[in-house]
This record gives sequence, structure tokens and C-alpha cells, in this order.
Amino acid sequence: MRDRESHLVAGGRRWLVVAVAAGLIAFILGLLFRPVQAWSAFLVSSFFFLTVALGGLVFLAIMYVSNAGWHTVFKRVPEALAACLPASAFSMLAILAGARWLYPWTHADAVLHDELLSAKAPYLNTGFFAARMVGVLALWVFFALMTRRYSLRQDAHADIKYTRRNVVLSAIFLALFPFSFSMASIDWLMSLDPHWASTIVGLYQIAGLLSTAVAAISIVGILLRRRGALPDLTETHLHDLGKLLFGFSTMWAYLWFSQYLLIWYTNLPEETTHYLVRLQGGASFLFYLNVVLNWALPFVVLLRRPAKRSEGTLLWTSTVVLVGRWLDIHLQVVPAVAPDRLQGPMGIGFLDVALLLGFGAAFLLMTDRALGKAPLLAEGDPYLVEALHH
Amino acid sequence: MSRVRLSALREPLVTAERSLAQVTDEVCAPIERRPNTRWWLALLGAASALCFGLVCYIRTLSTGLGVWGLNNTVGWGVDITNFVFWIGIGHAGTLISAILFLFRQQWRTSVNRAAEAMTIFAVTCAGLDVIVHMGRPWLAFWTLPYPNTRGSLWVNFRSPLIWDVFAVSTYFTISLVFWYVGLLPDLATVRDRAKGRIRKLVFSLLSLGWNGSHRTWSRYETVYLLLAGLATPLVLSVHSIVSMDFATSLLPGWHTTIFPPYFVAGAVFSGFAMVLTLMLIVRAVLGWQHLITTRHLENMAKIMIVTGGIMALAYATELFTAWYSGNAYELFTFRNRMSGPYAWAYWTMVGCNVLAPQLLWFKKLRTSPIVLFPLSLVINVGMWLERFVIIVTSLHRDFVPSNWTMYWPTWVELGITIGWFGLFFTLFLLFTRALPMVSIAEVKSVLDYGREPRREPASVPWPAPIAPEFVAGSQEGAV
Repeated sequence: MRDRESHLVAGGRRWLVVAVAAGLIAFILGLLFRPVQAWSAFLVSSFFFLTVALGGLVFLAIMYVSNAGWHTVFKRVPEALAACLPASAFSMLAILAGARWLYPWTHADAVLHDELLSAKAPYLNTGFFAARMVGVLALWVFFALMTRRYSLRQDAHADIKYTRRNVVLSAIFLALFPFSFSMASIDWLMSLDPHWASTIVGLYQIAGLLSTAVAAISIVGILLRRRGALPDLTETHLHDLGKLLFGFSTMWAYLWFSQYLLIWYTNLPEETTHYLVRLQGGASFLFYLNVVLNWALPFVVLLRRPAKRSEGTLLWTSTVVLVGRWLDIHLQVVPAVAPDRLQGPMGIGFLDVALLLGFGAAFLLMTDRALGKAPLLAEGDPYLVEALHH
Repeated sequence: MSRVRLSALREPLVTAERSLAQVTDEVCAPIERRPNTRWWLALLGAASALCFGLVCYIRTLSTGLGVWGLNNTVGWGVDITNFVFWIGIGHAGTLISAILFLFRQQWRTSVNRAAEAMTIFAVTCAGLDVIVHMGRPWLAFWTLPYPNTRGSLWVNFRSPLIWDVFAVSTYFTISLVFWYVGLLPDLATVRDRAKGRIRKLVFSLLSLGWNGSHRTWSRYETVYLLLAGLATPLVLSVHSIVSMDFATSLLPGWHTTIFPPYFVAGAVFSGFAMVLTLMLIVRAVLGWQHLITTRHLENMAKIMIVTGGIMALAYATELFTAWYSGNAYELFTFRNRMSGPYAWAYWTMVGCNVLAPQLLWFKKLRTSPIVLFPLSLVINVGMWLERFVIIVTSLHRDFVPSNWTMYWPTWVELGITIGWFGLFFTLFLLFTRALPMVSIAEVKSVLDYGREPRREPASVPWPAPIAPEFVAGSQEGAV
């Protein structure tokens, strides 16, 4: 496989390397002086970029099982995102080192003095937690590597059998994904506050992952198109991506609202704590901002047909959604780990931003590298002809 | 359609070579000939069931709700089970006609008409069921908010039951309008073929002066797209709100945040099972295997795998969270479901809704009508039981053990349940005689879908479909 010219980062490579280094330094300094803040920022950004990578794989899998053709022209983009999955998996594994700063149930004395935590100990204990984490990450990485492998082989042989194999792989993956990802969301996010439980959390995170995936694919696709690397990505493809972003962001809002309404209506103290801590203090505006960024704004903007077909509008709307996605995860993690942090005026600290930028830069570099490893147009794909005439 | 370039992997949607006129003849045939004995027998069966239901309802009206098995602890039973079941059945039609339309799934053209009709009949059953379950059905209009002289007595806008009134009536209205608008071109076709004067008059009035001009078609397409967009959120909202009848309560087994999406998935799941039941009968009786092909069956089976999977995920999540939440009452409810006196219902439900659909993973099974037909019935039984389990097992052993009791439906309730199936099938049978069961205009648009590659020289080997001028880099030649 020949290395190709980099299209995504082009001249910005140096700045991205600087951002990665800065993020790393900030994290190390954070570990020394403010470990709780450093680890929560690490979890937020790590999980966020994991959903970007995993989202790419889920998007591809859905396209394979539904025999879709329109996406073939940019299918290397979600593939490149999914190629970052192994690295994202390693960054999630690093959470195990910081678990004692994040998860109250890792402290033996806390569990001993808390009836509820003792009851949950068979599930919420470090060993089992680590085993589950390794298990689901390995599962996803396996499917990411296999799908990518067959897709690249098809470039050389243009054999239809690789499409068929990927359909089977994707079907198995899609059967396992909702269960594994729900479990991961419960483990990694919901158990930060082990006294609180909600059944919708898994589906809620899946909806978030889907809108993350479409937003990320749109951004990378549009950047490539702007640099002239993906001329076949037409307005019609953007239109469909815009529709999907509109749909998934609305689905996210639907699940967000379902949980909020049911907890507000029933008003049970053990459930309302989740919202109380997020709705009090100076940074409570973040709670509303979350809905604006993830849903209200993309909904209003993308409602019109010309907006979905416009490169510029779709690019910045996708960016807003990605920022919203990060904020949503931030709001899952930070108030649970350190409730007092939302009392301040901002609710987002320097470390949070530094790690987001560091992770983001590293992710961009990896995506760019994956894009360079294969032709940007999957010429052996039997559905390419449809995508070129979409 | 034919100008869209397709991958060589695409297969035709209509599997027999048909001209446009042949499609019209074929679809119009059942409504232009006299019904045969089989149809009369089927109608007799359905109408008898409906009459039995009516008799049972008259008994309820004349004697009071006491003839049902409800008691102080179990205030909702088969009545609300039926309501949720029929609302659920009514979901597949709009999903097929609106959501699959927005996703440009052209295979929907052969099944959307009948599925939408099914939706409307199912929602009719559900809407009437709400009135039937009332203690004083003659006061049903009290559920509507309007300025009145009853001491200005307003409905409680905070009650999910009122949201239900709005949601179901909106859903019914939009589904009906959407169905009717979609029917217009075909009503005009029937009008143009009509022999009798009355028939001609009726279909002339119904087709609203459709003249088939470009302008008419252009407006029709716009309206259809807009209605599809409007109907899409309704697919989700109706069953979400039905789920809130339960989930806004404090009751373990009812109050859980996953209910809205879980109910929607279950509705689509059961709705598709019912569409399959009906379509399998229709295609066998009318010999329409080339219109409603095995691929249509397969696609519907795939949607059932997906929605069945969401159901399994929801069951698993609920069960896990009942333990994980550490709430003793929640855990008890689920234990009671699994090993209490209604355990038979719970395990039948799991068998029908989680285990049985796993057969659909195998292509051989999901393309075989002989497997699909009993499976669709099994799923319908499972989905009816699911609502029964949710409603009755959560109620019958509540927080105070002295309240604990059992609920068994009486013959009157079961009779009304049979009556709903009678009403549903009577309406559907009448529909098969009155209106084109397949959207003629839409099927015509996909007649040559996936056919053209076959007309090219057979010697073209795969992967030839990408002609040199279409390969990236030399885009000038591309259309």
C-alpha cells in the first residue's frame, strides 16, 4: 500500500502535533495537581473520540446490512474514523489506571459503609469492570479491523465476495453492538454516580453516537472535498448526510426528553438527583446549551433543503453538533465526579479544553494517516456506480 | 427510474415482466369481479366475530363494567391490553408509507397501500376500544377540551391519558389523509375503467377531478412528501405517549425511562408481523407473488429482526436495572413476572418475541412463506401477551400485600377481544373489494427497476459496470 499525500491536515500538521503535546503536558500536570479533574477530562474526551471512531464503524455496518449504495463514494471516510478505534480503545483502557479517582465503588471502605454499593458489588468491582471493558473494546476492534481488511482487499480484486463478507460481519456486529455499547455506557458513565439508574441510558448514548458519526463523517468529507480530494462527493450526498444528521439529532432529543419528562413527572428523589445537580449553580446554563447545540440549532438550520445541500452550512452545523456531543458527555461525567464544579460560573475548565484539543489533534492525525493508506475512492465496490450517479 | 444507474447487484422489484397496462389490469381485477365463495366465507367468519363482540359489549353496557374481571387492585386488564395492541399494529403502515418513503426504499410500493389500510383499521379498533373501556361511554366527549357549561370543567392537561386522546386522534387523521392522498391516482384509474354509472360517479367524486396532468402530478408529489414528513414524527409520538400512560406513574414495572423507545420498537415489530400475516394471505390468494415478492417478505423480516432486537435489548436492560437499581419493589415485580402466577405469560412472551424471531437470521427461513406465516402469528400472540404482562403483573401485586389478587378476564372481555379481530378483518376484507390493494401508480414507477443490466450483452463480466468514463478522475463524461 502506497502512502498518499495528506489531504485532511495538509499544512496544519505541525500545529496538530503541538496541540497533542500541549494536551499531554496539561494532562501530566493535571495528574500531579488536580487528578480528579484531569481524569474526568480524560474520560470525557476519550469516550467522545471513541464514539466518533465507533460511530464510523456503526455507520458502515448499517450501510452494509441495508445494501446501501449512495455512501460508497465517501465510504473511506467512516472507514478512516473506524481505523482510529484501536487507539481509542487503548485510551479507554487508560481509564483503568484512574478508576479510583472517578468511580466511588472502587473504594473498599465506601462500599462497606454503603448498603446500595455493597448490593451492587458483584457487578461494580474493579476486576469485573476491567474484564468487561477489555471484552467490549476487543469485540469492536475486531470488527473494525476485519471490515476494513475486506474493504481494502476489494480495491485490488474487485470481488463481490468481500461485500458479501462485510454484510455478514456487519450483521453480527450490529446484533452485538447495542448490547455491548449499552453495557459500556452503564459501566463507564452511569456508574460514575452508582446510586442513580435509568434504563434509557444505553439507547440515549447510541442515539448520541449516531449523530456524532454523521457529523464527523460530514466534516471530514467536506474538508476532503474542499481540498479537491473527493470531487465525487456531490451536493446530493451532502443532502442525505444532512437529512441523517437532522434525523439522528432529533432522535437524540427525543430520548433526552423521554428521560427528562418521565423523571420530572414522577419526581422520585432517587431519580431527580441526577437533574438537580446539573440544574443548580452558576453553570446550569450548560444544561440548556446541551439541548440547543445537539438539537435545537441543527433542527432549525437543517430544516430547509438548501441548508442541507450547502457545504458551508453542513460543515458548521456538524461542528456545532460535535461540540454539543462533547458537552453532553461532559455533563454526564463532571457533575457526577465533582458536583461542586458546576457551582462556578463556567463549568468547563482549562484542563477539559486542553484535553479535548489534544485528543482532537491526535484523532485528526490518525484519521489522516488512515485516509492516506488507501485510495479515497473504493473503486472495487460494486455499489460505486450508484454513488457516482446519486 | 430507469435513468438511475444501478449496481449490478440490484434485482428487479417486480419479478415478472409486466407492461403498464397489465399491472393496472392485475391490481384492478379483484375489485372489478364478483367476490368468490372464499371471500364470502372469510367475511362471514369476520362478521360473526364482530357480532359476537357486539353482543358482549351490549352486555357490558346493559349490566355495567362489573361483568368484566377487573377488581380494585387490577383496574386495567384486557381492555387496555387490546388498546395498546391495536395502536401498536397501527404503526407498521405509517412506517412503511412515510419513513421508508423518506429513505427512498422503493420496495415499499407493493405493500404500502395495504399496510396503510391496516393501520387505519387498527387505529379505528384502538380508538373505539378507548370508548368501550369507559364506565360511561356516553360521556366520551368529556375527554375533549372545549369551553363548556359544566361549571367550566376542563380536562387535565397534565394527564397522559389526555395526551393519548390528542396523539391517537392526530395519528388517525394524518394516516387517513396520507392514505387518501396516496390513493388519488389509483382512484382515478378505477374511475376511468368503471363500467357502471354509480361506480363511475363514486370514483369520480373520490378522485377529486384527477386528470393526470404534469401539474397534478407535481402537486401530488409535493403534498405526498410533505405529508410523509409530517407523519414521520407521529410514528414515534403516538406509542411514546401510550407508554407514558404507564411510565409517568410510580408503579414498579411501569415507571422506567426506556418505555417510550421500547414501546415504539414493539409497535413496529408487531405491526410488521400483522402486515406479513395479511400480505402472505393476499399474495397467495390472488397469485401476486411477482408483486409482493420473496424479497418484500425478506425485507419485512429484516425490519422485524431489528425491532425484535431492540425489544430484546429493552427486556434485558429492564431486568438488569431492576437488580442494579437496588430497589426492592422493582426487583420483586420482575421476580414476580418470571416466577409468579403469571410466569406462563412472561415466558410465552419471551419465547414469542425474543427467541422465535431469531429464526429470521437464516435467509432460507425468512424467505419461506411457510415459515413466515406461523411466525408472524406467534409474534402477534407474543406482543399481545407483552402488554398483558406489563399491565397485569405490575398491578396485581402492589405495595400492600393485603391488596394482592389475581385477574382473569371473563368471557365478556374475551368476547370483546374477539370482536376487535372481527372488526379489523371485516374492514380489511371490505377494503380488498373496494379499493386497489397495491399502489398501481407507484408500482408502475418501479417496473423496470433492476432490469436494464440484464438487457445488456450477457457477456459483460463483473466488475464491468463501472465504465471507464465513470471512474474517478475523468468525470467529464459522467451524467
